[in-house]
Amino acid sequence: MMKTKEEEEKTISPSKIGCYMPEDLITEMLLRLPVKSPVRFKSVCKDWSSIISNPSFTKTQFHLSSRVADLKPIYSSIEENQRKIATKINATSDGSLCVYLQYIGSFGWCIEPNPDVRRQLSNDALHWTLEVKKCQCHDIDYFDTIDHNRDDKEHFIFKFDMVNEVFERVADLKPIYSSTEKDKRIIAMKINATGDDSLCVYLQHNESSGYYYWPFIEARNPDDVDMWMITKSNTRKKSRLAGRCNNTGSNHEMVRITGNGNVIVFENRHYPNSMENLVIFDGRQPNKRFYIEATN
Amino acid sequence: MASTSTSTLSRKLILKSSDGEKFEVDENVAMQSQTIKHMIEDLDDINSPIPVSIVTGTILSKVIEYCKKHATEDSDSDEQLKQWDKEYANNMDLNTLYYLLLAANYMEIKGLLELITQCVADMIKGKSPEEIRAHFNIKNDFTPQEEANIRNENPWAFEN
Repeated sequence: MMKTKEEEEKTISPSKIGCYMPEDLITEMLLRLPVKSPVRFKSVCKDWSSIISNPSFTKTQFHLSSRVADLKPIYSSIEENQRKIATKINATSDGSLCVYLQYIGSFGWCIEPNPDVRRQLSNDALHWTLEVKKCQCHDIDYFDTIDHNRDDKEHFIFKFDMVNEVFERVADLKPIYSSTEKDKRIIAMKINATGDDSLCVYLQHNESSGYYYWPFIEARNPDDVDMWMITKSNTRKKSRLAGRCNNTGSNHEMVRITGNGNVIVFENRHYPNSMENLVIFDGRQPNKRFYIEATN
Repeated sequence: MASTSTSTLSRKLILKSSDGEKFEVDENVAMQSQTIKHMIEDLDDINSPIPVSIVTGTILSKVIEYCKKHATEDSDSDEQLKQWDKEYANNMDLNTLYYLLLAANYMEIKGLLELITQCVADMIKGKSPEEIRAHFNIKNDFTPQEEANIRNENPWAFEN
């Protein structure tokens, strides 16, 4: 009564499979693919192309895949009492996502925020923390002066591969703290993908003097700026390009990275009512820079 | 619907495949299919075979296997059921999967449709357009120029 598999295959003409598939079934199947695959499958045939090009397809796909990654497993490699304090995420044109994560050990100091706190704080990480934890502010600077152990801070850049849905650790920013630079800490961080699929990372750090008149960060020395170009072809190897700029203020928000890898910094000299200068670093040769003086 | 569910426990239905094979199943098993559910509502004589017109006997027996598993409540945890689903789908060859997909679509069995769709999607996700055409036996109806244009729109999608 039951046909064997061999008989079954004889009676079915495999050449009909493509014609049999109703469009709604093809759509359902394409929606369950990782983001990159449907784009590639546009070139399969005209029917598939029109399904995938339909704006409602993209909309549904976005809805279904709005949760692309679960960052939790990353905690497992780090001590339990550490928590993530900063996240930056950026999409590159090769369809990857780059995720920057900063960790810090847990600590007990909490400062009740006043309404101005958010404006006065300069650290991106603190901004982020404040936005998430609305009623308490963790003062990272203060923590730093109490506990000089810097090794519990870790900075990574992860790449999230949207096809295989895995994280790859493309860069470890820790060496910045090594040996002579032990007392430096990152106070600003920008990350951006450039047009040629490199990743440009701007890091600004200043020296820890042991005392900070919180919430103002008074930088006595010009802050150091590192720029990292991480190329797609060799993500393991990153080149560090040192540069200096006179961004002596706390206005670290005013850094932008352009699509061709230039880093634009607004200088802030703390003079009231004064315009700020604009510095443009060439991302690949940070020693090469252009000033645009403000005429006031 | 309420009247059927109260008296269904031991009722049997006969499903008839496209190639004439007959299957006797419990009503609650057959009711996993929305299509059959609607057919029963319109049926005067419940003892006459219900035609499942586009599904062959081989495929229908697989569909019934799935429905039986999912009709028995409380016997398995969600985890066990997922594991069973996975093994069920993994044991199918590609041809069977396609016909199951069509059957699940026609019979409106949501769970089975989702399971098989995801399974097929997992099988093809890393493949090139050429492999997909071979897989589904689709004719490339683009001119070389049109195909090149599509590739140039999103070059990153074609890299490995």
